[in-house]
Amino acid sequence: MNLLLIAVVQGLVMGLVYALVSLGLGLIWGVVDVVNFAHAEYMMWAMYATYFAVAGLHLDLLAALPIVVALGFLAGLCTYIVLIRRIMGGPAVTQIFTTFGLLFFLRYSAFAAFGPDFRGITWPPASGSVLILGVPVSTAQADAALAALITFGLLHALLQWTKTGKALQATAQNPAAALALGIEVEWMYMLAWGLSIATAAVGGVFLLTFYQVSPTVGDAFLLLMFASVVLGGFGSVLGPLLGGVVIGLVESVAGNLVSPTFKLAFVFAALLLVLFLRPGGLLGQERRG
Amino acid sequence: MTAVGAAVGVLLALLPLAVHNAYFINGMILVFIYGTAAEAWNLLGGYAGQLSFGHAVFFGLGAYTSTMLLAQAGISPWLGMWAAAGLVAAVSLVVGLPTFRLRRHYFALATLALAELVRVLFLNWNLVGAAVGLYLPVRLMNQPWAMIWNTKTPYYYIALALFAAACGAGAWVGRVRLGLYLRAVDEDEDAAAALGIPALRYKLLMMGASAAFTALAGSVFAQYVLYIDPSTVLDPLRSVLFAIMALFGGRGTVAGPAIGAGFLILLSQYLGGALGGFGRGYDYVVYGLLIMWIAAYEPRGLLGLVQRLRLWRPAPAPGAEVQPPAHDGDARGPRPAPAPLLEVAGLAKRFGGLRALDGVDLEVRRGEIVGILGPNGAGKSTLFDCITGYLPASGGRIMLHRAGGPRVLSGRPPHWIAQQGLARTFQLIRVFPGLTVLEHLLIGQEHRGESIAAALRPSPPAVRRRAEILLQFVALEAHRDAPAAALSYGQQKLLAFAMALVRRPPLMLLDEPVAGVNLTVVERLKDYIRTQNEAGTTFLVIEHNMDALMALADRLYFMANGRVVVEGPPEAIQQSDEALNLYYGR
Amino acid sequence: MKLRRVTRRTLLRWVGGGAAVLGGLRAVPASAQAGDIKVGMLYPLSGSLALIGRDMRQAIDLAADIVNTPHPELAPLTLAAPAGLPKLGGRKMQLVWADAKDPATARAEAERLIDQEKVVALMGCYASAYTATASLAAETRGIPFLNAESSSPTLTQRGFKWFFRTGPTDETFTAMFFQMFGDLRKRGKRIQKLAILSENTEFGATAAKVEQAQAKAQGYQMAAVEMYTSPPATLEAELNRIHAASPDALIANSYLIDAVTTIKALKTMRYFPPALVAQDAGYVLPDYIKDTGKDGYYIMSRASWALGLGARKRLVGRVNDLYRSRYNEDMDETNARSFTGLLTLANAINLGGGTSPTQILQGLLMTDIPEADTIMPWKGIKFDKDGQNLYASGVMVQLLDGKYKVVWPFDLAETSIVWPAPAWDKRS
Repeated sequence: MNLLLIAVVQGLVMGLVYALVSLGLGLIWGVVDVVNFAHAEYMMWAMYATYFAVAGLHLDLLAALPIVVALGFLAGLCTYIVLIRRIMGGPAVTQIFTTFGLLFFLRYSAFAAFGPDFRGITWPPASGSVLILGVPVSTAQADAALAALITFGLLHALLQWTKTGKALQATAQNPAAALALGIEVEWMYMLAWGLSIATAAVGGVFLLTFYQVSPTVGDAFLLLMFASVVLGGFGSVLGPLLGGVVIGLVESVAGNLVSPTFKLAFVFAALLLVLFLRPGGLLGQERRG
Repeated sequence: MTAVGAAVGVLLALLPLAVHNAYFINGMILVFIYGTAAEAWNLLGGYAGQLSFGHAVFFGLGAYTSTMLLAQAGISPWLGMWAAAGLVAAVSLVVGLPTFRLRRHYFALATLALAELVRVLFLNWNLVGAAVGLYLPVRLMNQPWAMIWNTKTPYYYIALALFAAACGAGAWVGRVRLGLYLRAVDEDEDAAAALGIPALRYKLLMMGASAAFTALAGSVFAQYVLYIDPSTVLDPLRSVLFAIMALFGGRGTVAGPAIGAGFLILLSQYLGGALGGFGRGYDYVVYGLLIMWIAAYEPRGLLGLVQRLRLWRPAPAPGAEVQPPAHDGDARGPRPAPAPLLEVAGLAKRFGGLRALDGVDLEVRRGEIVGILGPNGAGKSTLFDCITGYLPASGGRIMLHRAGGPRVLSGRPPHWIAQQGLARTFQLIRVFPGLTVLEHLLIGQEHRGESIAAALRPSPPAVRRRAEILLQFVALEAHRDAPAAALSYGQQKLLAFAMALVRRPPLMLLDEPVAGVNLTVVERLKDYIRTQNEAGTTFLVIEHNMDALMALADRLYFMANGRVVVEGPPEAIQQSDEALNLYYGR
Repeated sequence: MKLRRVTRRTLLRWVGGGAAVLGGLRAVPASAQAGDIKVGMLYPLSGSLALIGRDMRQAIDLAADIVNTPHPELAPLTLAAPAGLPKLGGRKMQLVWADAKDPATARAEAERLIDQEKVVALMGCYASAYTATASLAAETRGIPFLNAESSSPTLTQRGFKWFFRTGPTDETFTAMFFQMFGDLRKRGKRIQKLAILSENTEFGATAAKVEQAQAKAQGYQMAAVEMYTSPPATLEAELNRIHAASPDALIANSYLIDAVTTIKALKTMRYFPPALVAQDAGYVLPDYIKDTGKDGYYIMSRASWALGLGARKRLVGRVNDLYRSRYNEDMDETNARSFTGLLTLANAINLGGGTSPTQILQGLLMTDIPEADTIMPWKGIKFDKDGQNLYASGVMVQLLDGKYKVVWPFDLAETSIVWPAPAWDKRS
């Protein structure tokens, strides 16, 4: 079979998954103007929650999904209220260190609680594989990609067609003006954090069907997430979607056709290139604060 | 502080004579090595405000360079570590040049990605042992030239010396002008550029120094552990630990990273020893909590906590005290002849389809006070930003006529323009909240032709005298050592004005100098501007307060919709129906 | 505390058995008075290797217990019958444990054990990188260091005087792969094209290097070598390339999660190589079977020990029974090596007749334990000039019906090898 075709199909599927887990990172970055270095750790905790719901409480994955996503939303709210609110508008140093501290805390408390073991589940409906354009893709990955598309669709609809969504967008563009328009900016920030972690939780739930969880699982995803968001741009729904798919394609095509050993190197190099070559465009968004 | 440092140093030097516990000595050696790296990180992340999560790259490259030189070429690490430091410093500058253009999170992100990239490369690079790593040649055991011993004492003193040097470098930076500049850049890079401080140059300097010290620490680490591999010396967690140590103790101080390294390493060792098989990452949970707590509640770290308890200051009374404005004792000679100083021709600025400036022509003659009036959105502040280099113009020409001949300002960076003798203030005040009032005046000194060597010395007496004079001039001497954040709004305006005056700029651009302050301060500022003008400074002033401007200005430009509508003496503008209609929206 | 309780229980059972009760009881107080021999145990007790560290600790504790108390029922196992070390007046082994959780800590802990705990010898550390640094401390201080579990060949190529290894190296293990391939070729199997899928730290990188060198030397074609960073986000690209190369056998050097990811990806691709031959690690852990279920069957792995050996060697079953009664699980191929390591060290101290470093060194150099006295499938234990056990070797096991069965060498095999592995749609 044509290796390029395989690479493109698998890259697209994984890219959608990357896009799904990156979505929330871009949302907070755009709306709240905070870069959450701990985003992948929330995904990791969602994976653990799913694991215990499915393996411990014997729930079906689809029954666990709303519970885990609701928990994710609450976790996002709490994070904003307890921690992030205090560093809003503070220097970048403080923000970066706070979320890095959060990363340490979340990762190693999972380590303390669950140990270093890898845990996974099997979701019977997704145990086989399907053919996409003649390329076999695991049903679990295909389902995750589908979940990604649905999540993106729902969020896009929320942002475009509801009053709350418009308020959220206005807050992202100019918090001061939003405040002047009578938008409860504080509520919007809370909402953004809730939605952000909730989407990470959706990603975590479906990721667990084909990827085992351990406390350090975030390592493999953190930079991929950042690459997706920086590449696609933040503050919109389509940005991370585009970025995630591009990153998935870069990883897959470079991995299949050039060298799998360096596939992550290609991703990081792509991230650096974007950072270096497009700082004008990227900084244009940054000048807001 | 120096005495305390020296005393601690002597105590540490005597420690191995009293303590023979090898495990403890091992812990101390690690404290020194990591402490050096934390101090080095602090040079960049603390003083220069650039957060790096990639310092493991410098640490690892240092370790690999000296090790390869010893193992492959038989070059003594005593030389090899300096070669490593030089090489790594060079690498850091190559990395720093593009990454410093990135602000805020992007720099942290770029360093993080870079560290991962280097680690992947080293994991697969057979020449340096790839994933298997490198063993140092233990057959050279106890040969001092090879820096390999089977006792700990030599390592203890080497690591201690390195640590002392890193602390010394930090202390020096904190004490000289460079330290002040870096703090200013860290707090508000744009405002620092308005004073003419070349931020990039000093950041690169700190990057190089930081990388070099980290590389030295890496070399010594390799010599001590005698085995290196990418997952040890290029571990991304290591980068984060260096940063955490510095932040935990107190970023931007000398004692901070040292205390942080000591506390965290010994804590980790104790937890490892005391909890043994139970140590399931609890130490990192504690780190995480501490970091969040410190970042959110006391960004200055442990030292900041101590200072907060000791140095509490009463809040200043609102408004400024009325004191007679003292004359600048260092005034210049007679008023020069009216020759053009600043010439703006056909200046245009477009934001997408919007023409913010649409062919502005403007001339400021030596010794004048020129005012710019106009309704909101007329393009006044955009004009200032284009003249001073904060916004690139879309077209037109800006010339400054100085003694050495005319200089084209278009396309130059703000700090360069400032160095040509053009000072500005901002519409929203931009002072450096963490710097004291006196420090503001010290960093206001002339930066044109200031060498790096000069920046590594304290402020010269002439600058100090001038700072004291200006302090009196704007009647802030009572607040000499208070941070700017503790001043009232009016006082901050005065401070921003005085700060721009320190280097006696021939031309000052003031953006709404009297907006938002009470009448007393308005009168005082008007006095100061007149006094300075008599002393030889030319002014270009944007002001909404028409009365204040009418009273001050020799000439006025009236702007609307990105264009100059009327130009002339105040009386002429007052009689211009067109201007008044536009101004009052009639 | 734990040690004492178990000792008492062992003794009680002994009393119930009724044989030589008096002899046994007399030996205990005598040896306690002579002062125990302190031996340092450097193993990863925390961090990511903590689980396997615990397994090794259990086996080593059991081995020490067997040395210290009489176990005539386990004869001819080394030092099982007498209580303590006979040549040292029945003195006992006392284990001092330290947590070697990374290379730097391993060395620091080794130094602490030598300088402060005054141990007379060291054992450890499982991970080759940790063993490398910890043994440096022993070498510079002139203290014997015995390693039982690390397989990196470089460890015994450093010209160390005080370093000994009982277990096989990657070279021995890999040579075994090729001996098996040779035997299978004689039986008419087509094995010419090979591929390697390897994680990229000390373990995988070293093994991959050895595998490539031996394949080249023996004239095999290496169709693909794919190195990845563990844990991988996906292994699809690697496996696509291997699939495209269609090797006759795929050699895998992988940790647990990588192994599970590999099997899942292979199933998705609807592809399985004719043989998947693993350098133990992830493929021989109980969790591998748990996570992959029946999909994980038919893989082969090297092993220096397997429970299935008990069919031919009764001692293996008896020691495992004792282990099972204590810990309620079976020994595995890793901690069987640790177990044998401690017995070898105790034996060397006994042979040397004293606890000074030179005496123990003498004992190690004199060591010559016959096959029958061990639970291993090795010809015996005898060190060459580099300190490597000349006879260390292993067997090949295949995962069939949820059990690792010995399938090679053919004369030790429990069951016949399944080669090629059945395609996915042909599996029941």
